[in-house]
Amino acid sequence: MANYPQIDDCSGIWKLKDVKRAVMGGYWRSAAGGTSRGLFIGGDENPAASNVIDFVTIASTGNAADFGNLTVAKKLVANAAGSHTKVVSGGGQTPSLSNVIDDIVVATTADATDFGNLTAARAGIGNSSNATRALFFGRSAPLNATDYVTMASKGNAVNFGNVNEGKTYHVSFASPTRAIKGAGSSSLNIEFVEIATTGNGIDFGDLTAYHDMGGAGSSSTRGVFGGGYGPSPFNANSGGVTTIEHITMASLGNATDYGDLVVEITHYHGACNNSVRLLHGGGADASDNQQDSIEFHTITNGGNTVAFGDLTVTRGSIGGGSACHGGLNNGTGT
Amino acid sequence: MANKIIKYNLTSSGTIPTFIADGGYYPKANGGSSPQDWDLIGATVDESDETGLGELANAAAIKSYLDTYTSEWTDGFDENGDAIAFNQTNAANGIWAKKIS
Repeated sequence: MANYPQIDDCSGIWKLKDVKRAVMGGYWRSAAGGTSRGLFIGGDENPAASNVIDFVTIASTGNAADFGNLTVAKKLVANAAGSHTKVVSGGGQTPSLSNVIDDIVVATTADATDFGNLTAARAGIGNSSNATRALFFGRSAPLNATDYVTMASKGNAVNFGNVNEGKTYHVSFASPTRAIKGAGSSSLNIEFVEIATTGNGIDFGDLTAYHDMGGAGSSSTRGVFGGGYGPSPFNANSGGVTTIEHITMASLGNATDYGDLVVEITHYHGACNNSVRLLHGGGADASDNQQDSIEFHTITNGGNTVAFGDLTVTRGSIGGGSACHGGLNNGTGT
Repeated sequence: MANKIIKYNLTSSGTIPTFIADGGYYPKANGGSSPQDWDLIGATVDESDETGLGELANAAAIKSYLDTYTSEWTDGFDENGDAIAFNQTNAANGIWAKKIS
């Protein structure tokens, strides 16, 4: 069966039966509430943790607008997982480590509600999903632990398998079948898990640059790592990393450099995408000064980033998320 | 015009109480069950009479409350990679700045 229509592959002729299947299956663009909103979540308002959620329309450009608030103010927020209707943001630092998972309905601008708890309090974790399961990678003892939740039903997270490398400050994204995490703790390694299983991590290729606390996102086929820092901890002399590189998620190959963050941000930023554009927002510049800017590039073409707009509040160690990312749109209803 | 700085819980359905305008700060584990397993600090909406789990009447009261459970907290790292102790005074003053008199 053809896996179309996809948000990031919407050219050509669609068979009506496939359009119907997509609409009824909940993975057609308009079935997601008509939203292509990107969220920027929580962060560090220096020194206090933030409860702010901002939103933008990813397909346009412009400044962010205020959404509701998180249930718990937190920084070191992971880039969040999302289904077709909600974003699920787990962990963070209050400044104590948090186990709280927030549930954000993207089509509204309402406050987040409590989803449940992670198996342990964590911050600076990797967080990604397909349409059904959200995974939370690492940053608690043991560091290689992975949690997951089924986003359709609120409740506490349960254990997934373990990843090979227990790291902090890594980044993650997903295809509809694979959740991929890389970087963290000065690692250049990438690994993945099959989301439908609860199996252990499997080695992928390698990165060309460090991406600790960087941004990440994906279409349904291509995963992108952008910015960050390394080796850890952040060092103002070496500054942040501007490299944007991509992998083909169906392969096990190494990443390829295909652009740079050039507007302001280098690290500690949030990222969100609509599987076509990847937005990087907030975080800090190469001198570790917090920023309010948002910049973007296209996932297919890469290249250098272009200015998008500004957040409502300047903040670092911020999360991002959307209900239209690349883990959602394969057309198989996973 | 006046609001209050209070301690509170999320509602039993996991929502932020309607009387909270700006909250979710410095959660304290209370041994309860999710979603009411954290005591939070927040500012109420203007003119609200709600006091939640108790009002924190000034910055000193906020600091005294924070001192009861945050002595082991750290907040980031310095240039040498060493953990920075959580500053209760700064945190209390930051929360008190949300007070509308």
